Amino acid sequence: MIKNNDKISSNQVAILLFTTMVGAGILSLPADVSKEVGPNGLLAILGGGLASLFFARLILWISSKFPTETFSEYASKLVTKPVAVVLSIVLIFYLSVFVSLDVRIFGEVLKIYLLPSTPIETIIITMLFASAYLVRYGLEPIARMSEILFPIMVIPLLLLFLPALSDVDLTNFLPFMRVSLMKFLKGVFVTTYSFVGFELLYMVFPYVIDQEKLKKSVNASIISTTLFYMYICFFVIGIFGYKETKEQLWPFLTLIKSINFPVFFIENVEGIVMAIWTFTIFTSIYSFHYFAVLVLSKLIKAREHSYLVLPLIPPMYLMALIPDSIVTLYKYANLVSQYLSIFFISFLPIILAFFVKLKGLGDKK
Amino acid sequence: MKRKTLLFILLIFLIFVLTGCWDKIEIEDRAFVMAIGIDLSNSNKKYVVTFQFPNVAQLAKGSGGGGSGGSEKPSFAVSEVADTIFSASRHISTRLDKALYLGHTQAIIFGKEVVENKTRFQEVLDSLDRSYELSRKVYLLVTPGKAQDILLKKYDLEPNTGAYIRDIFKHYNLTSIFPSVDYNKITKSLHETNGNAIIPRIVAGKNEVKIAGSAIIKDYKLAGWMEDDENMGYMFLTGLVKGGDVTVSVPADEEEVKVPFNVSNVIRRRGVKVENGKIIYRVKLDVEGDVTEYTFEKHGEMIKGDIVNLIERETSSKIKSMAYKAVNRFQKELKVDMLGIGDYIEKFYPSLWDEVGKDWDKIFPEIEIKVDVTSHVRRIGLFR
Repeated sequence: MIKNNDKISSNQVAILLFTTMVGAGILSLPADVSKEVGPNGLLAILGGGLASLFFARLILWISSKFPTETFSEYASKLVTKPVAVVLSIVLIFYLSVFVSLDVRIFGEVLKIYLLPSTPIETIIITMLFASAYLVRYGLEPIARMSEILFPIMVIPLLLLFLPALSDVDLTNFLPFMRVSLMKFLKGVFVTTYSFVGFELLYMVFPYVIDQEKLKKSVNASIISTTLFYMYICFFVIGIFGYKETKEQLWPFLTLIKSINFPVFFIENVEGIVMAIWTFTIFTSIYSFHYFAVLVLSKLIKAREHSYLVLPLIPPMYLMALIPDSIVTLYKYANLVSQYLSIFFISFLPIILAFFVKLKGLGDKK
Repeated sequence: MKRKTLLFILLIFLIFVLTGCWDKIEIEDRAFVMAIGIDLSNSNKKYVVTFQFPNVAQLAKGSGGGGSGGSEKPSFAVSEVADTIFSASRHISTRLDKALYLGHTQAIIFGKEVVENKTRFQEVLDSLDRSYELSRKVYLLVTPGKAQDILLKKYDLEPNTGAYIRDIFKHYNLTSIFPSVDYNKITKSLHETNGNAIIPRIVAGKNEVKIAGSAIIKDYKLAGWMEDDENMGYMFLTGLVKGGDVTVSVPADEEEVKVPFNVSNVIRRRGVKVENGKIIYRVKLDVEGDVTEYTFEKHGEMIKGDIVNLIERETSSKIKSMAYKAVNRFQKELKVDMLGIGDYIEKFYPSLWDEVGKDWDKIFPEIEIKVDVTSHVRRIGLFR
């Protein structure tokens, strides 16, 4: 049974997808792609975007075959119950790991730039509780929160870079496509970490009012995310050149430090960017948090999801504190995005789609 | 009752949550460092780091309008001896009642000894690269003497040396005799060419500072200085010239007169050809500008055109000679590609770069560099 006030529109899904995907990845994305494909980072992001679009549509197609069921229910029809339970548990773990990684990266950045003597534990726990507060109220408030925060995080970021337009050296994108295909594919592959988030399509389908419009909103959100990333990478690589970009930890934040603002009194805009950055990461955190709770509640067939929100916080908090430095943090992030993400984004949809075709399930409208 | 107790406990807990502001520093407790000087030390510690910051209290008073701050100093400078730049900024707090804040730093000056020592220079650069506070719009400069000497002095024109230097950079295009590169561009160049860069030079004057010429860094080490002419040639070749003046001699009735050609625009075109296995790099410069002085007795002659043509020819050959001076310096003397030729080939002739890229350092001194200059006089001042 789905309660009526937990229904969202397809437009809200589009915004929710965008705000979920744009998260911690934005900081290191230009460095990651520059390392693999040199000056062709923009194309790698485009490739990553198109691949994401394909798999997102595949996931949407699978879940559209079961219009009233979420992941754990239809997975047990497709790949037998025990496998579905294991998959659900891994999915819960995976979504929780993303909450932990995002909140930890958020804490690290905030600690460095704004709050040097605040313990990182405090930053993390505050963020998690804020997220829990929102998640308890269900999907509709979450979608509305994303609607509110979306313009606040996108418009300033788009405008903030414009003064740097004259510093962009277009020759930094040359030579055009002189990397081997393998390297290029690897570059596409490393962008996955930044596109993670559309897995929520596994779960979101039954909660949408106008389900027939979902295709359009998935297209819109993934294309706009791709364009947003390309916009940022255009400035980062265009100004630094790929050779310097790849050596930086967070080229996005370094770029903010090197923009010359024409107005003197806003010489350093780190404060503004940190405020926007808080929204960016918060939208990702609550979205992952909610869907982790949702899968869990469906798995144990709980009547209400809200009781499960708080119990997930201690494991997320502890996981966020496992990496002891920023170096190991990024090592874990890479491991998660290279294995778990790739599994949930690409292998699982293919397997599930195969079973949908094989068993001829669904398709009864 | 139970409800009330619960509420009470909750309120007690709120006290701990609401305190906040761990990291609060009041603005008057901060020292906004405007300029940093880095020198090598003679003692057992490695560096002498000088921080210069304005007297915020006095600035606030000044803008209030009432009474002159008279006896108070407009800015302070303090030096600290330390093994690393970071520890200098920390240890200085033992002698200072304020917390240093580097986010507004405008200029960082290296003493000559720092850039002469490869290890030291790399240490310093890395400490700047990793800094969270420093902006990347900082201007880096090298002084032939000690950075301390520049920063410990007060200049009448502008006691705040950091702002003073930044403002000089703002109008570099009046002369083009020093490269207007900031930290962002220098560190980019160091990264891309593995240790080569051009850093502007600052010289301490008696009552002012002067920024002119530049230091050539090769392999993270000072390789030499560039004087005004050479520097302008270098800037013409790399497309940095946005203005400036070129003085040429033009024969008049009795003796030659010097005519300033005021550059207003430069268009640079480049190309690479391979002939008989030799790489030919060709730069074509289209220089536009005005003539602002000639000589009084020749009023009425400028409009005829002959003189304008002559000035154009003279200017072209002057710019050409400046450019070749720079080419000679880099190609023959220092054998270091600071003219961006490798970068250009890599971007526009990638297949050629695949052949030569690996040992470009050896190939660069062998290539042929051709410079063509065409000058156009666009305006001649208010007299014919």
